[in-house]
Amino acid sequence: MSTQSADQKTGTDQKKRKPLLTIVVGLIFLILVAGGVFLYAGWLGYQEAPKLVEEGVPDIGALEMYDLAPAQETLLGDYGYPEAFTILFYEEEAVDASLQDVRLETWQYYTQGVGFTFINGELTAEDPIDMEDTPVLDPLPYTPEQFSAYMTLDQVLASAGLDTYVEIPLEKEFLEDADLYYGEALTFGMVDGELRYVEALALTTVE
Amino acid sequence: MKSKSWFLLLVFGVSLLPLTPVLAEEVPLKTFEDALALAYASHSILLGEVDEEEAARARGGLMAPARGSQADEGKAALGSLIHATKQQRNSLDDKCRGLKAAAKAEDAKCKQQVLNDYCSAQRAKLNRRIGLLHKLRGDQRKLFTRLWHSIKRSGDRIWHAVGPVGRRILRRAGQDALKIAESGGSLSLSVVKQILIRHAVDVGVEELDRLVTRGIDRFLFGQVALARAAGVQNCTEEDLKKAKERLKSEVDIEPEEEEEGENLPVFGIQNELVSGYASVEWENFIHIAAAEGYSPAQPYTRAVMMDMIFNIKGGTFSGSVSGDLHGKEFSHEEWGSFAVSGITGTIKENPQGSGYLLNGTGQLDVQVRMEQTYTDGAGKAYFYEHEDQFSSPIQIEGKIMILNVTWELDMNGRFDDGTKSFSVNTNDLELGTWQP
Repeated sequence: MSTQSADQKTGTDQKKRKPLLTIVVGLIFLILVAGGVFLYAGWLGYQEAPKLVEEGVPDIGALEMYDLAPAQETLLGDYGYPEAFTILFYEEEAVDASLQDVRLETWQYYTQGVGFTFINGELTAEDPIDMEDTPVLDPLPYTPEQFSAYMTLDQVLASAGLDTYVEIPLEKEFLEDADLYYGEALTFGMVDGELRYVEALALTTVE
Repeated sequence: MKSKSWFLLLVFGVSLLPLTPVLAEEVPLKTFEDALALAYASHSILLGEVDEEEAARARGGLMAPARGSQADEGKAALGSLIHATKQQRNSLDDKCRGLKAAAKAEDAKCKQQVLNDYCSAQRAKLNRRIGLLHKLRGDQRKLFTRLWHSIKRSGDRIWHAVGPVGRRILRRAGQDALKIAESGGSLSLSVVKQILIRHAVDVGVEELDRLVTRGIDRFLFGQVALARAAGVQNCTEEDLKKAKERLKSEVDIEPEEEEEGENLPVFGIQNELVSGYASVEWENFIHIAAAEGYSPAQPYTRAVMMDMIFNIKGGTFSGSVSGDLHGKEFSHEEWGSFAVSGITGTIKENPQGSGYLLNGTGQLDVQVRMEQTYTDGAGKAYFYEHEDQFSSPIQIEGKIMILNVTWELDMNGRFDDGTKSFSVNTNDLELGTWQP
C-alpha cells in the first residue's frame, strides 16, 4: 500500500518535472539562439566597422608589374617619377560593343607646376598646376607601375609593402561592396574585392 | 508558452538568414563613375569634409564632436559621403554645362544628345544616392531595422574585445585614416607630416576635376565615334543602344566568314615611316611637313612611328601614330610633334576601287614651335617665336591600299569643324602579319 503510494508520488513528481525540464531546455535553446544572433550581429557589425589592420605584408610570391607605355617612359626620362598620382580603373564599351579596360591616370609634378593625364598609357592632356610656394615634398614611396587594374587586396598590400592600414567599409547606399583603405601616403578603393582607385599622396613636413 | 517559444525561435531563425537576396545577376559594368566616387569619398574622409547640413548640426550642438558616440561618428562618416557625392555632382554639372555649351556652339547635334542623356542619367543617379544617404543619416528606418542595427552596435563592442589578433576597431575613421596616411605607422606616433592636398585644398579639387573632365571627354568621344561607325544620325541613348547591338551582331557574325577564308586576316604594322609624307597643321599658322627627298632648301627631318592593327574581317582598326618633325629654311625653323592615340574605327572595302576605307576617331596631341629671325630695311634684326600645344579629339578618315606584301596608307585627321589637323601618307610599306 505504502509502496503504491510512493510510486504514485514519484509519478506526480515526474509529471511536475516534465514541464519544468521543457522550460529549462527551451530557455537554454533560446539563450543559445540569442547568443548566436548576437554573435552574428557582431560579426556583421565588425564587417561594417572601420578597422585598423596591423598584420604584416602578405607574402603572395612574385607580383606582375604594370608595363609603362612609351609615352610614360618618355615622361619619366624628362620629369622623373611623379610626386603624386591617381589611377582609376574601369570598363568602357568599345565601338564594337565589347568591354574594354581603361586605366585613367594623372601624374602630378607640383614643384614643376604641371600634371599629365594618361588613358591606357597614352598621354591625353597636360595641365598646369597653380600652387603658390610649393612646400618641400617627401619622396613618394610608390610608383604607378606598382598598381594594376582589379588587383586583390593582398596584391595591393604586397605591391605597396603596406603592413599597417585603415579599412573603411562604405555604406551600401553609397556603393555596394566597396571599401576604402588608407596606408602611408596612400589611399585606395576596392569594389567587390577589386582595385578600382588608387592615389599616392604627396606628403610635406609640418613646420 | 510553447507556441510563444516556437514563435520566438522562428523570429530568431529568420533573422539568421541573409538579409539580401541572392540573385543570379549579370556582372555589372565597372563604371568610371563608381571609381570616381571612391576618389571623391577618399578625399572627403581625408580632409574631414562633411555635408554642410551635418556641419550645421554639429555647430548647433546636436552632434557630438570628435570622440562622440558611435552613432554620431557614423553620422559624421555619412556626412563625408554625402559631401563627396554632392561634390561629384557639382563637378559633373560644371563639366556638362561647359560641354553642352560647346556642342551647341558647334551645332554638334549628336554630341548634344549624348550629353543630355548622360548628364541627366548621372545626375539622377547621384541625387538618388544623396537621398539614400540622407535617409540613412536621418535614421528614418523602420523599427526592426533600427533594432537590428542596435544589436549590431552591441556586437561591435564584443568584437572590439575579441576581434582577431592584429585588428582593432577604430572610433574615428576619418581622423585615424588621416593619421595613418600621414604617419604611416601606429596611431600613437606623433604626426609630423601633412598631405599636400590638405595644405592646398584647391589643388586636390582640381585633380578630381581633371579626372572628371578626361573621363567624360573619353566617354563622349566614344559615343560619337560609335554613332559614326554605325552610321547613326540620332544619338539618343536608345538609338545608340540599338546601334551597339547591331555592331555587336555584325562582329559576332564575322568568325563564320573567317572559317571560309574568303577575306584577309588581321594585319598590323608597327614601324617607322620609311617612305612617305607626314605633316601637322595648326591654326593655318604652322605647317610642318616631312617627306622623303624633300627640297634641299627645306631640310626637314622626321620620324613617324605607327602602330596599327587592321582587323579587316572584323571590320575594325586600332592603333596610334606619332611623329617628330623638324625643319629649317634660312632663318626659319620649326619643330613639331604630334601623337594620335587611342585610334579606333571601322574599316571596309572601298566601293569605288580596290583597297579599304578607314573611318574612326582618336585623340590628337600637338606641340609646335617656330622661330624666325629677319632683318628690316635698316639692317636691324628681329627675332620672332611662337609656341603652342593642343589636345583634342579628332575624326580620322583614310584609305589603305594593299598590294601583296606592301601597302600604302593615306590618313587624315580633322577637327569637328572640318579643318585638317594632321595627315600621314605612306607608300610601299611592308605589311606585317598580326597573328590574331
